[in-house]
Amino acid sequence: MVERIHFVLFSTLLLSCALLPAAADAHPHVWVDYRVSPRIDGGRLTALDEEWVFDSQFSSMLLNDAAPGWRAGGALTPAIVRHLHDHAFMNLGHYGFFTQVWAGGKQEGFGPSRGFAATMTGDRLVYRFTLPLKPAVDPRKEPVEIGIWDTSYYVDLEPAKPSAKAVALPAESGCKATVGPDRNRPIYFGTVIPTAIRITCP
Amino acid sequence: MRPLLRLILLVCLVLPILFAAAQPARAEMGYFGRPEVSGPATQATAPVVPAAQELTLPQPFRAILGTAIRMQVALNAQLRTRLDAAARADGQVRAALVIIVASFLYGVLHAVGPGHGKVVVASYLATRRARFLVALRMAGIVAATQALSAIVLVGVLAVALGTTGKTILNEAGTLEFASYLCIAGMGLWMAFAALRPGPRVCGCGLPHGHEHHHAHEHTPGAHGHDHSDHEPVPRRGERLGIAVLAGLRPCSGAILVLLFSLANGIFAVGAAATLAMGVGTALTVAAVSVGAVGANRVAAMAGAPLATAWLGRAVALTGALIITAFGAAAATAIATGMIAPLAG
Repeated sequence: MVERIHFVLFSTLLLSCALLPAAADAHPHVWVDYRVSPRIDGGRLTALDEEWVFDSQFSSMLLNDAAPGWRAGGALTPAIVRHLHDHAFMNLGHYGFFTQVWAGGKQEGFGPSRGFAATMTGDRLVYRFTLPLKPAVDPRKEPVEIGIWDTSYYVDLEPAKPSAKAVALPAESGCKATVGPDRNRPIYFGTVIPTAIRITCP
Repeated sequence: MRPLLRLILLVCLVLPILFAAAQPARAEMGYFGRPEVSGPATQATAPVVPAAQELTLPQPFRAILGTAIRMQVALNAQLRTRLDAAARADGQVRAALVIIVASFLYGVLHAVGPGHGKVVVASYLATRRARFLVALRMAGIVAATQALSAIVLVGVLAVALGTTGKTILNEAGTLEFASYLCIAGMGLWMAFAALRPGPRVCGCGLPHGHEHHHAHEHTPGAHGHDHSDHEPVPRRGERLGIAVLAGLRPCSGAILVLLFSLANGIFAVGAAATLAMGVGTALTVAAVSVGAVGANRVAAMAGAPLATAWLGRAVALTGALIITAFGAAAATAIATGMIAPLAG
């Protein structure tokens, strides 16, 4: 009887191990190097100016969908930019543009995005847009953290290298940004440690 | 039983076409792996975390998967750089060779992650007596089906019909949904087969002729470990069906490489890379399959004194039900939007 229990346990364990990670499956398929410029007006963080640089393959696939037969070196016509805005940008608004802001550990909200622009740098597509914070937060009262990442890890968003220069704070604000791994917020079943930005102001 | 199996396989081939035609009320996926929501977001909200993603894997799976992901990311960067070089036509042959080698390694690592038919094939093999060769063959069929389904899907839709990349990713999601439904159907059929009286199902490696096994000890040529020679032909169809269905779900990594190479005018290089990726995937799936057969043998040895035809049947039934539950759960999760289709 002991052997039988042992045997059933063994089989169950083996199969549950195989089933466990089957719940969802996502690897990075899109790579983004981002830069972010927090706007600080009157000591308050009011908005984030973001710049996303996509990997060249994803760029070429997007542009071929927007303009069939598009090849690297081609121009971004206003029609293409409009197509990108409508079909490959707006929907991100429903997912917070993969951007999260915490003030003193509490998550803050955003207003609608503004000023979308698309350009090319070499064979890589670049998005620029502004996310206004709603309401503005005061980084002097409590440290503000910014996390730009996709929890499902379909998109791998990382600060552009060197990462210290990926965050541009207005010099007159006197605020400082540190960029580093956020071990408290692992993503993708706890296997990936994302990079977060921490802003402290005097 | 055989006509029933044929019927199931036929339905599984027709179903994806029906699904593609009918487009079920499933949210279309956007370019960033998230469902498209109609209308602009009036207020950008915090990212919605799918329920399944909040789960944290226990160790050592987390460490294994984490390491595989990091290596995969490095390889993918290499792959993309080379794809760029091949597209620019400088050193095309060398770039193509590097792409193929990188794709092969990518396939090995990529298949470590969830998906790629491992659950279905491992559940099948762990609860049945099978030769190691059968495990290797099934792994090969899974990987080959997966590579070919990606090439055919992108080849037909993009090259012949000029469909956009986003639509293709969505069609692949439909195919994935259909493939999970078929896996559930196949599992049910196997469950009926396990319940059916007669010697058809050998069960979980529990030798149904224990004495008989010893009688053959001195005649290695006629050694009857496997007993597969006793089994009627439908077993082969069952294995083939399981392997094909498990592989029918195309791997989005392969689809994206194909779409990227197509967008750069080098579809042939992408197809070669997909096949190389398939060989790599086959290795990983084979390792898991062989492990499942090995586990079955160990379990059979431990359970041998208690071996009864009844227990073997019960274990085989369990395997069939696990496959049914897996297919049904995955299809439901996709249909309800709990997990994103084709996120693999």
